[in-house]
Amino acid sequence: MAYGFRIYNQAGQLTLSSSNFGFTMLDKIEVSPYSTSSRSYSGVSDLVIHVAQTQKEPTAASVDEILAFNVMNTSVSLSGADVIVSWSPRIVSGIARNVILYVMVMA
Amino acid sequence: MTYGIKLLGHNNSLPVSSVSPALAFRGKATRITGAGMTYYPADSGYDFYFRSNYFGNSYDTLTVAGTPGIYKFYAGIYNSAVAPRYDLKFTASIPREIIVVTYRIVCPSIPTVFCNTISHTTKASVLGISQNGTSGGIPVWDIKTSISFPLGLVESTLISYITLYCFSEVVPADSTSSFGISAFSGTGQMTFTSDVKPLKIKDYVLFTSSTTPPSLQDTIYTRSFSPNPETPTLSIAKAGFMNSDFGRYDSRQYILQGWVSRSDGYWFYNAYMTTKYATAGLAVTPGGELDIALNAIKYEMSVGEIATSGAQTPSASPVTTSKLEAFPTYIPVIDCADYD
Repeated sequence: MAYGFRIYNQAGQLTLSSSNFGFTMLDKIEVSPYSTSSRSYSGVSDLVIHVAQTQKEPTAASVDEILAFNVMNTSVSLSGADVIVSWSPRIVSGIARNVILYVMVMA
Repeated sequence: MTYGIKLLGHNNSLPVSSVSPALAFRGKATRITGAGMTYYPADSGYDFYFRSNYFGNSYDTLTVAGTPGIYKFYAGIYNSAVAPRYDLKFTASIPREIIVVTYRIVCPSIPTVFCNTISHTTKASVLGISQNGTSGGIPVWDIKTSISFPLGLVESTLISYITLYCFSEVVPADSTSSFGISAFSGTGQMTFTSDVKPLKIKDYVLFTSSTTPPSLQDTIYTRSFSPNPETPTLSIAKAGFMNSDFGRYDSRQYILQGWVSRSDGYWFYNAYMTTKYATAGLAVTPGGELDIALNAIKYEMSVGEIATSGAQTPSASPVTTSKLEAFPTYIPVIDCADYD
């Protein structure tokens, strides 16, 4: 390679290099599927933030619970030097479950 | 960022930084077996009746206007012993095409899950994740996963096709050696250590909200990749797709039409079946195309109306409605072979 970096482990295996896409986790937020709110992050305004999500499932399992489908609207915006991650309800179908928002740094 | 370390990767991405923690490979989730841990969505069928006071002796079967071959419907004359009358019975027999299976992983925080399948006709998606106690002081996570597959195949075999690769943020305990590199945030949080297998994204799949609603099984999509991917998905040996509830919600109606022969003519009946879909499973076909299956998780059937009488052709036309929700647009892809 003519540029970039490589990281090897003790066994000499290449574990990471600049050929890989970046993917780090800035935050995980558990929210109610009915909630509308936001959270701000400083020092990351030069990075690309992406929000993914998944349902948080209650421990008890039943057939009915798999019918639950809860999804949030999410958006990322800049406010001065801060990055604002916002969310609001999108779909609450069946049992209302909390949603985990994965705030990821892509670049 | 105004301080710390930032190592940029391909396409100016950020594999290592002191801002946010990298994700470390935590292992492959173990499938939970045993009573109560593996179960199936409703597939027993639903019965609906049309009742009339007519005394007859007729019988016929329903036809499906919509997607024949996916569902089976039966109709017949049902005789009530209490009040002599003949009822038309609709039974929707739902084929078992979805299995819900619970997987388990020990992981310091709620895992980020990538699904791999060795057969593109069988796909998995995560329905939800919950903590189930601890093991050695480390949280245990149950990952409820739906697996979709073509009709008529052996479930136990299909389940073995699926592997879940789990990742979570690095923690201080991950640094186990006295060499290599580590990175820390301004608050002292470890954000990277060379002692773990970090998550390496090989590609992204991009969807748009205008994507045409897929059919129930194995609709092949045109996929769009991010600019300058290191490894196009086509050439990834063992693609794993991040599950992040990227799935779609799709509601459709199918009209079922049946008729009963009576002495005064033919009487026609309609019933409506609604299907709802949730998260989707992804796979790469041997030909290199991206394959998506929606995992149907709910079936509803309701009685419609008596369409007409005295004629042999139902007057109502098949009704199909659908709704599509597409979100988010990026699906990260890894090469699971990196973690085997």
